[in-house]
Amino acid sequence: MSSELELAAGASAGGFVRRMAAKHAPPLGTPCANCATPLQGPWCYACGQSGEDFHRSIVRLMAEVVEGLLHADGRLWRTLPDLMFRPGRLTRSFLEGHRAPQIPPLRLFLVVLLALFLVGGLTSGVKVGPLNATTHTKVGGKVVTTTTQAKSLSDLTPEERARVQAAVSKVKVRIASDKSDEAAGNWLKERLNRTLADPERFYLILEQWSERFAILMLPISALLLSVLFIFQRRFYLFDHTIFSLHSLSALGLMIILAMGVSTIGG
Amino acid sequence: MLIPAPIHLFAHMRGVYRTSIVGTLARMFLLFLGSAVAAGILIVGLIAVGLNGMGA
Repeated sequence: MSSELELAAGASAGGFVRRMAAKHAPPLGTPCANCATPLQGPWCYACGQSGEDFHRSIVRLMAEVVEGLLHADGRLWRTLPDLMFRPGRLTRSFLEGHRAPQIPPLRLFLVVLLALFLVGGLTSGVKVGPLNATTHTKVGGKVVTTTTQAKSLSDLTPEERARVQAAVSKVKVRIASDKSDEAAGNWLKERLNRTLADPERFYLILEQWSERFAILMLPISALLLSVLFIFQRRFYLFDHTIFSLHSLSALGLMIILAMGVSTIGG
Repeated sequence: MLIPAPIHLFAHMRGVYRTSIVGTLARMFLLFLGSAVAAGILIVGLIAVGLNGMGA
C-alpha cells in the first residue's frame, strides 16, 4: 500500500518538473553537469539528473512554478468541470489509466487544501454570528423555550469572565471510573485559565493545527472506504485513495465557493 | 453545502464503484457515521493540542 502511495506521490511530484525539464532541455549530446555522460534527452540516463538549465530570470522561474502548480495549460480546465459535475467519470478514467489529460489527484488535493486555507485566512475577518443556546423548561404544564445568545471568549465582560473562571476552578477530570485525577484536573484548569486570559493565542494554535488535522481526513476516508468495500475484491486501497483525493478536493472547492458567496453576500 | 455535497458524493460513488442505489445510499450513511466519529475525535484532539500549546 505504501509503495502505491509513494508511486502516486512520486508521479505527482515528478510530473511537476518533467514538463519544465523537457521544455528547457539542452541539445542532445551535451555532457551531463553531474557525471559528464552525453545527454540523450531531458534527463541523464546514467545518473538521473535533470539536464535543465535554470539560468533564467526569477520572474520567468516564478511564472513557470505557478503554471506547473495550477496546470494552466488546459488540464485544469478539463479536470475541474469533470470533478464538479462528472466525478465518477474523472476517477474511473484515472483508475483505468487515462491519466495524462487530468491533474494528478494528489497535486489537485494539495492545491485545493492550500487554496482553502488561503481563502479561509482571507475571510476569517468576517464576523460569524454568535451561537444560540436553547433551553426548554416546563412552567405550569407548558413548555417554555428560552434562547440565549452565547458569547465568544473575547467578548466577555469582566464579571462574566470571573464567573467562567469560578466555573473552571470547579472542573474535575475523571480518568478512571470513580477516581478523579488531580494532576490532570490541574493541567486542564491551568490551560483553561490561560485560554480565558488569551483567547486569540488559543485560536491561533487551533488555526495552525487544523491544517495538519485536515490532511488526516484523507487516510481516514480511504480506510473507511476499504472497510465498506471489503467484500469487493476488485477495488484496492489505491482506488479508494484516488476516490478520496477527488472527493475531498470537490468538497474543498464547494467550501471555498460557499465562503466566497457568504463573504460577497455580507 | 448540505444539499450539493451528498448529491456529489452519491454521483461519485455510483460512478466509480458501480453499486446499486440502495447499496450506495447505505454506504454513504455508514461513511457519514464513520466520518462524523473521526471528525469528532480529530476536533477533541485539536482542542487538546490547542490547550497543550497554551501551557508553553
